[in-house]
This record gives sequence, structure tokens and C-alpha cells, in this order.
Amino acid sequence: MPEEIRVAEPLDRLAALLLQAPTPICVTRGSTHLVEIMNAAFEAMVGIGGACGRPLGEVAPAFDGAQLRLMAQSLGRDERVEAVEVPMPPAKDDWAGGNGAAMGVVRQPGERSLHGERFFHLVYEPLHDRSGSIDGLMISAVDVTAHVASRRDFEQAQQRARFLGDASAALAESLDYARTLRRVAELAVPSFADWCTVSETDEHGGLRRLAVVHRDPGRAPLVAEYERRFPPAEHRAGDMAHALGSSHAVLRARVTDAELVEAAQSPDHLRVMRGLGCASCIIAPMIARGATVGVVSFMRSEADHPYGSSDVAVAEELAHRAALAIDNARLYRAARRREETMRFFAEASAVLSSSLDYEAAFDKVAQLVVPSFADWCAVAVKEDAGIRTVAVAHVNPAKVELARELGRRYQRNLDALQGSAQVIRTGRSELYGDISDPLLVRAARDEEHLRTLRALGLRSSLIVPLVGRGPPIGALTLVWAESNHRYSEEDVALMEDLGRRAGFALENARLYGETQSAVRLRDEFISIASHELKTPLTSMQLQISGIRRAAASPARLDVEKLTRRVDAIDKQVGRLTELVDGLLDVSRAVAGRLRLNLEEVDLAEVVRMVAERFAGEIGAARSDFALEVRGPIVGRWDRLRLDDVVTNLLGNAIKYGAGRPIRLAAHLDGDVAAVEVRDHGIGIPEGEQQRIFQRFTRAVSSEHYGGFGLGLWIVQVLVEAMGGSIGVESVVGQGALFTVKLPCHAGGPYARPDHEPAGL
Amino acid sequence: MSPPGCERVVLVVDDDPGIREALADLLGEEGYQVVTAMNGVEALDKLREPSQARPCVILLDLMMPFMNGHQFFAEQQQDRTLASIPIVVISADSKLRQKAAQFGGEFLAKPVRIEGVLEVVERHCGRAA
Repeated sequence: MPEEIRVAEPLDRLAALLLQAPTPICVTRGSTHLVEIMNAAFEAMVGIGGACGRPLGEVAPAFDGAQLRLMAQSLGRDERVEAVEVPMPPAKDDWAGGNGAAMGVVRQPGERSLHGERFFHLVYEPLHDRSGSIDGLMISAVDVTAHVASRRDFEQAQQRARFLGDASAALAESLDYARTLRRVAELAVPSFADWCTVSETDEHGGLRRLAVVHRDPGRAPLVAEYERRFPPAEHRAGDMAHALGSSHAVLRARVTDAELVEAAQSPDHLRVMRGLGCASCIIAPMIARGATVGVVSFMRSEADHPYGSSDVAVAEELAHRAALAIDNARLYRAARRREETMRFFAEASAVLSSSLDYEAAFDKVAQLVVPSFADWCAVAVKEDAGIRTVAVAHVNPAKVELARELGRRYQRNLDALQGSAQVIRTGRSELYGDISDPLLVRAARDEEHLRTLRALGLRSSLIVPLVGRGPPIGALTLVWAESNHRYSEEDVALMEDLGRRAGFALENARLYGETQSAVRLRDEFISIASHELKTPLTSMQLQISGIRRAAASPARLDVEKLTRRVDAIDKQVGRLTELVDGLLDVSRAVAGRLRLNLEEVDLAEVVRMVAERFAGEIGAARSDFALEVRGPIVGRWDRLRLDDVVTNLLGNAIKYGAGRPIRLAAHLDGDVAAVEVRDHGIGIPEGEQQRIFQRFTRAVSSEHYGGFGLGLWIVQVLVEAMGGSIGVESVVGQGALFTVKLPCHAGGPYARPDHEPAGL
Repeated sequence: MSPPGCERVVLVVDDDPGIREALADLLGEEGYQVVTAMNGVEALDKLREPSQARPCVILLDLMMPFMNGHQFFAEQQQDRTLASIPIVVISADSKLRQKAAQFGGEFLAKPVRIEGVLEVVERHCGRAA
């Protein structure tokens, strides 16, 4: 082209200058803006060539619309019109229409942030013909791309600074970091991300999501599904793991659909991720004091605004500030928790040690645990019949009654996740740090059960054993529900400590209760014993009075009467001796020093003798008496003890069954002798049937029936000493059948090591 | 002094035959007619027997089978014809003092001397001939 310029001609020279000028210049003619001259710089600007003779608006889309109106304005009003920062399409590197590079079209810093878009300041200057009328426009341009880019960068930096500032302010204003981090996620959306997730690490190195925020409210159901079904702990691979493992953010400027497909765990996961949109993302670890406390993910749904390296810096900065907030909140929470814990243990210890009524104490402990350590708290205690819930507390006082009612169902539901029965059995605590929906699904027996489990809103649960000196005696179940907290290993140690304190308290209360009842039994026994001993003493006292009175007036002395009185006294002395022997038997049996004189004895003969001895009493009791004894029944027993056994049983039958038929039977069944005593008296309630063989117990009140309350216990001790056993069958109101079974040739001196040597 | 219509009859209610016999014997020697019963039921039966002379005092044990002293007292108080007969409780009960208050306050603690028994019987029935 230069050879075409005729240097000598000033106009041509001017034209050549125009064409070669680094400034884009274009001259148009007429109201349709037909291109007359377009220099190389202009061609490079609009990205076209060979436009001469064609309307500018047609060949260069940038000059359509708004620019067309400005050109018309300039022509119409004959005035210079300027257009600021007019965007032009990105420069083509393979631009062949002109020497773009030579024309100074170079990439500038900041242009990258404009994604190649360039900006020009345009000046429309009307051109006049010789007559002075307007015949065209000269369009000149100045490249202001760098200016726009740096301003945009500045604006972006400002926006980020504002965002970081807002975020910092939000993080600083509250120690409830879960809520604060949600607020930060909300600040990031939409200015920095289309959606954002924040998760914190838990004690086990897992992740717990704190927030998911999406700019589009219409996608709330997808967000909810994402939150519920795809917890972060479940996909700890890929970028997330990478971000957690390093101290830097992971940038995925462009995430293709193919990559999404590959990363998806399931078709549902893919559907949700596609729905939420993930074209570009940054995953930034939250690091405080050298430890990773969580991770923030920023996602852009559309591909047209991918994240760049400057965004990574912002993401990292934000993550760092969030991490400090979490760390501070955790430190504060730990400090407050220590304080709470100390106060709690002081109160719990006071409550547990102040009361020996352990059910009342547990009620108070359950109330202390809530709300600092649980939303729900239940105390279960192992008893003979199984496990019984003795106390339930709920965070909402109005719900306590409901909680009690639900307690059993609750317990069973928790039992589905192993539960207190197992804890009591093994003595090992069970921690369900995060009761996730998949865990509930696994635990549920059926749909109905799953619904119940979900409705209960269980978030986290901890069951610790109540342990005293021996094996576990109960379990403390703690549940976080409404308040959305979680239990950690730290809580396990704390609550196990409480479990030990409560265990000891329970044991002390039980021992106290046992001591109390032993003291009560002893007092009752002493009272009965004194009554029993005073009865023959009264007889004797009266007879002695009689003798003394007779001695005072010898005229009334009657030898026959005197003899009768002495005989009566003698009889009462015998009775007293028997009672004292009975007491000695008791103390010997208790000490395990009962001695047997084993010899060949005919049980049939013993039974007949006892029946004979009772003939008078049976007659007085007006009972029909049946004696059924077959054969001699010979074995090696202690004759006197055998007599004691039969005497005691028959005596009881007469005492409790007077006026009704009584049957005494003895027979041999193989090598085992059996004695049966049947009465039709008041009978023994089922619950009392084992108790009647214990010391100092009677199935009826001592007001009704005299006696030490030791008879059946002594009978049992004697029978067992001779290798036998005693049992009772009874229906209340229909009498009782006592059966003694004695092996004919067992025996040996009484020296059962397993017999309890308890003091009276 | 003997109340009008009183035959100097004493009712002894005790489940222990030794005590019944001794009291019957000793009171009999003093000229009282003694009726005995081994429990509350028998005592009420005897009191309601038409041929039975009304006793001027009842010596009542508390711990007896079938119907104890308390139950007997309650029954007696329900029966207009028997309610006015005074009761003297003779018992080995350690809380006798409190319990006896329910029966009008008279009590003798076992083991009892015949002098004590005679004193209260004489007070209620008059000295026997």
C-alpha cells in the first residue's frame, strides 16, 4: 500500500497519514454512514475489513443501535458527539485484515478480567462540503480498555473488600458461629457466588454442613434435597479432600458437564448438582491456628463468569476469617462449657449426695442435665424385672409430662440404635454423634417406625452407664434434638463421670434402703420376740402370784392346787426354753454352726408323733384333720430337727387354717421322702411365697398372728441342711400346701459354705 | 360397790391357754365368775349368748389370731348392748400405752401380777364375796 501514496500530493499524503495513523479513524458519507475511509486501526478495532462503500452500521455491529443514534445526532445537529467506553468485540489474534499488532493493539493487564472485551472512547465529528453543508462524519477512537479494566479491577477490589468487610463484621458480631457462617454464605451470594456451602470439621475428622445458600429461591427444594441427602461427610473424595488436605483453595475455573457426571455419586446426585448448577467453583479450606476447621465452597451456575485467580485470593481470605470466627467461638464455647460443667457437677454432686431417695435425686439430675447437656434426658435403672426408666426431663418444661409418656417409646426407639440395655450389659458408652437420615433409615424397622424416628427429631445421642462399685446398674440417655447440637468424645468423658457419681449415689441409696429394711426387720423381730417371751412369763408371773397369795394365808393352802400351779410354771419354763432354743437355732443357723445328729429315723413315726402331740390343739381349732402316712419311711436324718420341721409346718397350718380341714401326709417316692402339709386357711399371695422363707418375714401382719416370723426360715435351713428342699403352692383364700422333700441317704454334717452368714 | 345387775362376771380374752387358765383360776379363787375366749370372734359369740351373764369388765389381749383386740373393740363399740362394758387391755405390746388410750386408757403390761389384775377388776366389779 505505501507505494500507492503519492508523496508529492498533500491530500494524498494526508490520506496516507490517516490510513496509517495508530488511532482508529473512519470517514462516512451521508445519512446511511457509507464508509469512505477506514484505517487499519479502525479495522482492527471493529474486527472487519473491506468495508468501503457499505453502511458502517451494517458491517460493524458495534455501530448499530446506540452508536447509530449518536451518529444521527451528530449529523442532525452539526455537533461533535462523544461516546464513552464503547465495548468492542475481542480482538482476533488471527486478524488478517490489517496489521493489528503493528497498529498497537496489544493485550494489556486487566484485559483478562474483561475477558478480551475492549473499550474505546469514540468521537463523531461532522464533515462539511465546500458549501458548508454537512456531508459526513469523521469517527475517531481512543482505546480506553486499560482504563476500564483498571477501574473494573478497582471496583471489583472494592466490592470484594466490602464483601470481606461485611463478612468480617458479621463474623465478629456473634459467637453463634453456625448462624454467623450462614450469614457469611448469604453475603457471598450473589455478589461472589451463585451458591455457597459452609461445612465444619467434627471431632472425627468428618465434615458437618452448616449452611447451603443459593441465589435462586426457586431452587430451595433442590437445596433442601442436597442438604438432606448428600451430607459432606459422605463424599470426602476429590476436590473437597484435596482442599481439606492442603492449606490452599482449589480452583476449578470451568467444570464441564462430563466432569459433573464423573464426580456424581448417583443419578440423583447428578440431577441435584445439575439443578443447582456448577460451572465454576472454588473450594477453600478454613484454617485457624494451623488446623483445618472446615471448608467453604463457592459455586457459579453459569459458564460465562468463571472464577479467576483473584477470586481465589478472596475465597481464601474469606475462609481464613471464617476459620478465625469458628476457632474463637469454639474456644469461647469450650471455656463456657468448662464453667458450665464445673457448676453442673457441683450441683449434681450436691443433689446426689443430699438425697437417699434415689428416684427423686435422678429426677433432679435429669433436670440439671437439661438444657446445658441435652434436650432430652432419661435415667434407666436395671431391676429384677428388666430396665425401668426412673426419670425423664425435657428442655421444654411444658413437655416434661409428654416426655415421660413418650419415654418408653423413646427408649425403645433408641434401643433400635443399640441403646441403654446394651450399655447396661457391656458398661460401654454409646455415642451417636450425628444421627443422620441414612442412619435412621438403617435403624428403622418399617416405614411407620422411620416416620416416628424422623418426627422425634433426634440429632445426636449419648448413652453412658451408671456404674458404682460393681457392674452397671443403669444408664443415662442424653439426646440433642431441637437445639441441633451434637455430642462429642469430650461429652462422653464428662457424662461417664456423671454416670459414675450417679451410680455410686444409686448404690448408696440402695444400701441405705437395705440397711433401713434390715433395721426395721430387726426391730420388728425384737418386738415379736419380746411379745413371745412375755407370754409364758405372764403365765408364770400369775401362777407365782397365786402361790405367794396362798403362802400369805396358809388357811387357803391347797396342796393339789399348789402342785397344779408349779406344774403350770414348769410347763411355761419348758416353753421359754423352746423359744430360747429357737433363738439359738436362728443364731447358729445364721452363723452356719448348725450341727446335725444323723441317725436312722423313721419319718412316718416322727409324723405320727407330731400329729399325736397336736391332737388337742387340732381339736381346739375345730379343724377336720386327715393323717395320711404310708409305711415306715426310713432315712438318715436328725430326729429332733425332723420333728421341728413337721411341728412347725403343722403348727402353722393350725394357726392359719383353724376351723378348716388340715391334711398331714408323708410318703416315700423312690429314694426321696416327702412330707405334705395342706391347710385351707387364708393362703399366701404369690408375691409373698418366696419371701416367707426369709428371716423375720411373715405374710400376714404381726397384729394377727404371733410367732417369731422365723419358723419357715428355720424349717428351710433345717431341710436344706439335711439335703432336702421345701416349696409352697398357694392361692389366696384357698389355703396353702407345703411340701418338704428329703433324700433318704444324703446328709453329712451341716456345713454349706454358700449359706449366707449374715448377722441378726 | 357393784353396778346394778352385774353378776361379778369377768371376760378374759387371750389366745394363750396358759394365761387364760391362770387368770380364770386366780380370779375364780377370788369369787369372780370367769368366762374365757381365745380370740375376738369367740369373745363376741360368748357375749351375745342369751344365757351368758353380762360381764362387768373385759380383760383384753391385743395380738390374737382371727380377730385381734382392736377389731374386737371396734365390733364391741358398734353393738349398743355391749358398748358400755369397760375394757382393760393386757398386752406385751411395746406401744401399749399409746394403743390403750384408744380403749379408754386402762391397760396392764405383760407380764402382769395378779394384784394388778385384781385391783382393776375390783374397781369395775366390786370386791367379790
